[in-house]
Amino acid sequence: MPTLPDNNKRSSALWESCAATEAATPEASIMSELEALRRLLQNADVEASSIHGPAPQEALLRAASAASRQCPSQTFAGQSVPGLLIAKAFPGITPEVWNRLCRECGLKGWAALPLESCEANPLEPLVRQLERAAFGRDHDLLTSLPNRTFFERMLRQEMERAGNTGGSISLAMLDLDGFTALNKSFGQEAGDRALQAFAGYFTAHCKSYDVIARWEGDAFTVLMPGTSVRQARAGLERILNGLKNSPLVSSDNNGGGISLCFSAGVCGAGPENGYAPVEEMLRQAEDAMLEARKTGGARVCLSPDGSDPLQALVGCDEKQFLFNFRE
Amino acid sequence: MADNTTLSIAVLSGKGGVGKSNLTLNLGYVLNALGNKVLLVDCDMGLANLDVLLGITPKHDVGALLADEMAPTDVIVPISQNGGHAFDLLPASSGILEASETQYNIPDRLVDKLRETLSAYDYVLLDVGAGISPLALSFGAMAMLRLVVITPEPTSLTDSYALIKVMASRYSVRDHFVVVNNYESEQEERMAHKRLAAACEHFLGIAPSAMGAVRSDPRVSEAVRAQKPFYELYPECPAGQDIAELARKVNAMRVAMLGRIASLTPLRDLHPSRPETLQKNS
Repeated sequence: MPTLPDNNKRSSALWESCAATEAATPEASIMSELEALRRLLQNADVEASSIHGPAPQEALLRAASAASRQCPSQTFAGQSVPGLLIAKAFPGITPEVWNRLCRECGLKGWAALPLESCEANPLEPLVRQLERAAFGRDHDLLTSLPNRTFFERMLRQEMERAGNTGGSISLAMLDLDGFTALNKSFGQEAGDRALQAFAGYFTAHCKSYDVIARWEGDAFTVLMPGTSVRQARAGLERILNGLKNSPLVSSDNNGGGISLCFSAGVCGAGPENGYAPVEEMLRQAEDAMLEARKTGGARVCLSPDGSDPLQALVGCDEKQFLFNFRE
Repeated sequence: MADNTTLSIAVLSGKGGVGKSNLTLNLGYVLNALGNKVLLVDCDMGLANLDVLLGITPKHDVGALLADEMAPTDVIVPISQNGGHAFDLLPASSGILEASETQYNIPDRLVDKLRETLSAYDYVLLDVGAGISPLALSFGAMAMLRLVVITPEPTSLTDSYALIKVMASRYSVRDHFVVVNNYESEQEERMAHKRLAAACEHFLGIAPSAMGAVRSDPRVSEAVRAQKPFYELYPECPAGQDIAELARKVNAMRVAMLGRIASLTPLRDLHPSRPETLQKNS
C-alpha cells in the first residue's frame, strides 16, 4: 500500500472485488484495466488543499472491509474461487470526476466511495447501490413500474387467491397507440418521457390495489383483483378518455402537446366463467388487445373467451335445440 | 395395497331446487338397505341441507376437518345402522363466507383428509351444490360417476346442459348419467332426457345416459316436513318405488365396475403434483 498524502480535501477510495464478477478475471484484463486507471488518474484534474476528516489510510481500510463483507468468497462453475479486493485511495478525485473518467475510459464494475462519507456511514453509498439493484430486479427503471417478472408473480398469486375464494379478477394488456411514430418524430428521449408520463397518469387514476406493469416496450399489463371484466372495461375507458383530454408530453418548447391513447384488451376470471390458467389469461388479453388495435385503436376490447360467461355458456342455437327438439 | 371397492358418485344439478339433496339422501338410504356401507358427503358449502332433511343438528362439520381441528371420525355422523352396515353423513360447513375465505383449495384438502376414511365404505355419495361454481365442478370431476338431476322444466334443461358443457371444457369430463326428478307424465320424462341428450350429442358430442326417473309424489314433501327419507316412511309410494329402482341400477353398476375401480382412489386427486401431497408421500 503506497503512502498516502494526508492533506487532500476531497478524495475517493476505489475498490473492485474480482471475485464478484461472474467469471474468474483474466490476468491480462486486470493489468490493462489497472494501466488505464493509472493513466487516467495521472491526467485527472486534482485539487489539493488542507485536510479535514479521517486519515485516508484508516478510511480506506474501513471502506475495503465494508466492500469485502458485501462480496464474500464466490463460486465459479461450482468451484470456490479465491478472490481479491483491490482498494486504493485517490486523493482529490470527486465522484463526479470519477464517473466522467469511467465513461470516457469504459471502466466498468468499479465502485467508488467518497472518503469523507466513510466516517459517517461507510456502507451508505453501497446500500444505496444495492437498493437500486434490488428495485431493478422487480421494476422497470425508466417508469418505476413493476416489471414483467414481478407482474407474472403477482398474477399467479392473485389468480390462486381468486380461485380459492371464488372471487372475480380481470387482466388487461395495453399498447400505446402510435408510439413508434412518436419516437421517430420527436426522438427517443421524448418517447421515454411519454412512457414515464403515461405510467404516472395511469398509476394516479387506477385503483390502489390494481397492479400496472411495464410488460415490454410500449406494452403494459394491468391486474385488477376483485374486478369483473365489465368493471375493468369501464375503468380503462375512463382512464382512456382522461388521457385523450390531457396532453401528457410536450412536442416542442412552445407548449404544444401530444395526447397518448392506448389499445387495451381485457379478459377475466370468476365464479361464473371459471379460472383459466395464467398463460391462457395472458393470451386472451393479448388477443383482445390486438383486436382493439386492429379496429382503430384508442379503445378497450373484451376477450370473447368467457367475457360474458352466462350469455356465452349456452348459445341461442343451443337453447332453441333444447326447447324445440321433437322426436 | 388392497383393491379399491369404493364407488364415488357425485350428484349434480345445473339448477337449484330440483330435489337433488333429497334424491341423494334417499338413494343412499336404499343403497344402505341393500346391504352397503354408505357415506353421504354434503358438499354444498353454502346452503347445506342434508342435516336438515334428516332432522339432525351435527355438532361439528367438514369445516373442522378442513381446518385440521378434528379427525374424520370425529366429524362423521352416523345416520342409521342397517344390519351392521354404516349409513353416515359428513355434514357440510354452513356459512358461505367461512368456506370461501379459506386459504386452501377445499376439494384438494378434502381428498387429503379423507384418503384413509373413504375406503371403509361401498358408496361415497357427494351431494354437490347446484350450479357451475368452481367448487361444484371440482367435486363433480373428482367422483367416479356423475348423476345429473334434472326436472322437465326448460330452465333445468338449460342449466344442466351448461353444467355438462362446462364440465367437458374445464375438466374434460364427458360421462354423465341423467336422472329426471319430479316428473308428471312418462312423455314429459322421456322428452326431458331426449332433449338434453340430443343437444349434448349435437353440440358437444357427448351422450349422457338415462339412469332413472322419480315421479312427482306428494309423499316426498310430506317426508321432508317429517325430516325423514321418503323411502323410510313410504317405501311403496311411487317416488319410493322409483328411487328403489334407481338404487338397484346403481348397485348393479357398482358390481359390474368393481374390476375397473380396483386400481382407483375413491376420489380423484385433481392436482396430484401439489406440494402438500408430495410431502405426505415422501
